[in-house]
Amino acid sequence: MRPLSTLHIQGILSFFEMFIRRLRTNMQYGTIVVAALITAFVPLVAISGVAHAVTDCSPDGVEYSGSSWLNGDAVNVCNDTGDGSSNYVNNINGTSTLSGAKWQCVEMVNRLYLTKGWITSNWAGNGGGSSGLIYHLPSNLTDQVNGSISYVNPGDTITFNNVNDSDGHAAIVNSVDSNGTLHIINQNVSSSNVTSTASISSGSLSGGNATYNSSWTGYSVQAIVHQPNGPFTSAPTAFVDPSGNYNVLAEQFGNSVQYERSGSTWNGQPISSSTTLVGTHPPLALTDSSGNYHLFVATGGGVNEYDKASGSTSWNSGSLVESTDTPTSGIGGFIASNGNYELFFDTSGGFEHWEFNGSTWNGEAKTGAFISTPSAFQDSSGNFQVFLQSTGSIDQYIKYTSGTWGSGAPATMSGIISQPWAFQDATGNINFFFNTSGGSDHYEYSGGSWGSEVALSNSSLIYWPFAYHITISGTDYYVVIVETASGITDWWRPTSGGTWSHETTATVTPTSGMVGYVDGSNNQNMFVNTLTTLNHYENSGAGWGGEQVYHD
Amino acid sequence: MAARDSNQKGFGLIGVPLLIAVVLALAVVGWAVYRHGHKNSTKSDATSSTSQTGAQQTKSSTDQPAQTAPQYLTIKEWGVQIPLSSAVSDAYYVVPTGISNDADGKPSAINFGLASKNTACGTVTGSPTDYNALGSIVRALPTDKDPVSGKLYTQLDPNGATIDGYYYGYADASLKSKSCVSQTTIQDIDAGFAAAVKSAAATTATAN
Repeated sequence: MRPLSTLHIQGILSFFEMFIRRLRTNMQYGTIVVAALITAFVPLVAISGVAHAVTDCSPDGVEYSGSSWLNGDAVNVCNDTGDGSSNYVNNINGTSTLSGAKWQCVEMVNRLYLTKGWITSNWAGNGGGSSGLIYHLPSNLTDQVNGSISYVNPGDTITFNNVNDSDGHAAIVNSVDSNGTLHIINQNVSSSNVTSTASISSGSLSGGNATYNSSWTGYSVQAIVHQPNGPFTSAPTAFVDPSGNYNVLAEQFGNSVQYERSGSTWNGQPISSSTTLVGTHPPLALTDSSGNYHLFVATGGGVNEYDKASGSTSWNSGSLVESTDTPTSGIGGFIASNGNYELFFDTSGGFEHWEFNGSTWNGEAKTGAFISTPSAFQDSSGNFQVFLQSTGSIDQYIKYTSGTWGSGAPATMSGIISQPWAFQDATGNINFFFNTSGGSDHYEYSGGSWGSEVALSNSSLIYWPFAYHITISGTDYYVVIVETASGITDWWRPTSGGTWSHETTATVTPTSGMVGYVDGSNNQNMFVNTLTTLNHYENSGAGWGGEQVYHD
Repeated sequence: MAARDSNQKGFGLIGVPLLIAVVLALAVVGWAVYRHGHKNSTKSDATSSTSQTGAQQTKSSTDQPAQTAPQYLTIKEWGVQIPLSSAVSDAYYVVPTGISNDADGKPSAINFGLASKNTACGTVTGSPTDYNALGSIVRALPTDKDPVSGKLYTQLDPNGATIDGYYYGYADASLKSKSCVSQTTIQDIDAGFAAAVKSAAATTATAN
């Protein structure tokens, strides 16, 4: 019995010893918790009513240059030294606006969005968590919670929850891989973590149920907040109205958007559509002599027209041009000298010509196998000139004033990689340019026959050339502007002959073909999309200047 | 008389060994009873230690006295279990949606809930807009640092244990911001989870 009694007594003593040890431990942790609770919360964003001059990472320095992300069109990532003072930047209206505390994560989000014109006042909130940015969304921004994400664009904000910080984190999506992986830029992180990634762990974007996983320990993706512009889904179309205002329109996530510059300010206006727009086909916008605006859009069921009457502030709800055939290209066309609207677009069986004579639309088709948006204009004789790309040739169609059609294939070769851009020069000659695998070729109809030349050699051209003629100081010039993935270059020579010269128009990465015009002041204007912006470039004789076209 | 004496003596000679035998028998039976009882006690402990696994499971603290048979919460994704004191005896866990994975493909964190606090504090679901967690465990290499603070996770979340090369640290940020229960209760929960994570062990190391 003795050993038994000894074991029991030892066991009881051991239990009490353990209990007392645990009690001590609990008391110790309790003290730590109380102390932590007393000192836990520090407000993330201090709001001050005092405006300061625009600063750019001053005085703490740049950690990652804004020229290194969002195609070189971002804001600097600033060194977070714990400064914590308020930072202000000018919004697009020139108003000094709080971007946040130097240099918190949400400060960079605010600074980018204010600079881009995506917001015009401070966007309050922590990075993530229950008081995060997604609970203080500006009215023009939308979000998708993780697990219900259907798309992500560069410039979108990504927010995170963090098990170590209930304030979470926020950052900007720099780029999106084809598999949906996000490349992210962060501020208020250690230098090795300025860039990070998030990848799809389940679901899909096309299914609208993508779930993204963070790449940081303890961080989980909370949501994506979409920047309002997004990349445009079509090349722009542009015109100058009778009052001299510049107008540019493009498709953007199923709607068309019009931007108009009055003075130095661009204002944007969405043009809602209940129909399914054909993703990347360029629309056509025209203005008539009365100053009415007309937009023609290729849809899944035909071609729609939207109108904005002169002096009106809104576009109508749209009407049907035709619903018989589905366009397989963008729309080319013009307003003829008699005021009729003339539209040309490709379909699976050939290209179609639709004309509005003031009361009805009438259509006709030309059979063929074309693979480009038509380039069309009315020549000085009143004939309609239509140029299209087909496999192995650039084809020309002429509708004479008599109503009969003629056709030909002035350029036949392998290596054609773009649609043509056609126009009539000051001498009345018909010209067109197109890109090939080796450069950009120029064809000119003069003296009853076609001549050709290689305007420039470059094996990296993308999209199509934008070409025109312009008379400067009594000399008429051909101008052709071409794009590569690293920039835009314009080339010119006198129409009377000579060699081609060139200069850099812009060092951006274009994401669309170009459009443009020579305005009433003889300024050259060109519009092009980048990944996150619609840009306008203008040359008034002293070189090219550029600006972003915003909407507020 | 002699025979009776003899018998008396004889009885006496037999009686001594018999007494010894009885004493020995009692000792053997007593030892056997003790050993039997001890084995049953050990077996009960082992059974309770594996009775709670996975998310959203709850466990009554009355199954076994906490003083002698601590319950365990097994985090199956990691193959790790933590002992649960009475303050957190009904703990469950979820893997947050969108959490990063460690290099071995396992989630880098889990969130805690307490079944008895679901009504007051909300159920912990792990959804991106669920902020009901009453604590978390971060799983990282001992050399890993938090990208924002730059601190080692071993410093950021010092209450933890290293198992098979990974550090498991208790993170209390979500609990600290709670007002759904009293501060005293928060302290008890905090202490309970902190002690639990410090005592984390590989599931295979403690299962019998």
